[in-house]
Amino acid sequence: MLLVVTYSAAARTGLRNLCRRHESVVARRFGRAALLDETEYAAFLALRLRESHGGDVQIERTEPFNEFVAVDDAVREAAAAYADRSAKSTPYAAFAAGTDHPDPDAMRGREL
Amino acid sequence: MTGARSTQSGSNREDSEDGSDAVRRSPAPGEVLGRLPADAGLRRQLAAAARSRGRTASVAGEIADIEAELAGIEVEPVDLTAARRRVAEATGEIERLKERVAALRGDARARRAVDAETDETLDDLEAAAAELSAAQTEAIAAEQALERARAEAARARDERRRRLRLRDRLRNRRGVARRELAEAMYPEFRRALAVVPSGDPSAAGTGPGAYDGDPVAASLAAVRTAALDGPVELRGSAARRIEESERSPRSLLRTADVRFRGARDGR
Repeated sequence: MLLVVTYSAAARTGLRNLCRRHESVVARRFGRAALLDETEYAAFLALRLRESHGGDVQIERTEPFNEFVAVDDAVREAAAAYADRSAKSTPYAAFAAGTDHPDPDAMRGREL
Repeated sequence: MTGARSTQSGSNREDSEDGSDAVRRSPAPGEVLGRLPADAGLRRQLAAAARSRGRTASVAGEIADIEAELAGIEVEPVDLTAARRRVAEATGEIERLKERVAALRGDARARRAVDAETDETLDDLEAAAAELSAAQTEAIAAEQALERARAEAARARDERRRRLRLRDRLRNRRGVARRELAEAMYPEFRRALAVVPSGDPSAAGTGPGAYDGDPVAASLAAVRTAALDGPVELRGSAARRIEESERSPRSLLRTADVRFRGARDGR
């Protein structure tokens, strides 16, 4: 999908108007951002907004996230195990230390 | 994917730093009350009257701080168009060359199969393979340049985001100041309504949002509560109200310089 983020009041108003006028292309709306359909028309609308507001409009393309493709089993298992931990105040680094769960710094260093 | 598109329409217009997007400053009292009927709403008129009397809102200090912080923000331009185009062109070039290499390979094979001369084809193939390798190097460089530009843009956007938040807060605090100032003037405004033509104190209600009377009378009353340095210019209905009452405009409005425009000989 297309993520459109605005950085000025005028661009934010422009995005709001875009969403109101073209409801069908809007997947989700946030305060000063919106997710638009992945269609050429949505891209056209986003580009029009950027033409009007320049650097105050950021357009990104998002991908669906599939944890079974993007990360190893260990990461998913660690997330589940940590969510299910008994001591709620334990930070993850301490929780993972001395176990097979991945180290947070190691994960930070690995791209998806 | 076709490569270069040479139109310059992609050049982004950077937002007007001091223009449309800047938060409106509170106007000088004379700008709001110097000409009646007034354009501004009652709350703005009363806030202007309060300011003309030297009153300041409790949030004035905060407003000054926000303004100072905003003045210190420098926003770098964000435009990744060139970097994105370079990546697209490099990728397009790779596709084109891959096809060319494949075609030349096929060509060489076909020639070999019929024992035809292959030297020239092999030379072309070698040249195309070298070009492909160069294009791949360029694509990597282009990707890296875009990555760097994105990182820079992210920093510039942090600054834009900070500016937007400050402007939102400033707009909000100015509204608070206006409400506060207008409310502080309200008792006096209500008394002034008893004096000005068509004024009705009972229409004043509890505060600026509740006023339910004649708008021109309200503006006249607001001027009466103000201490304006400059002239007050009366037009149309405002001029008529004052003329119809048989009192002196200066004593009604408590303003030294009252001028009539365009209504005298009109209707």
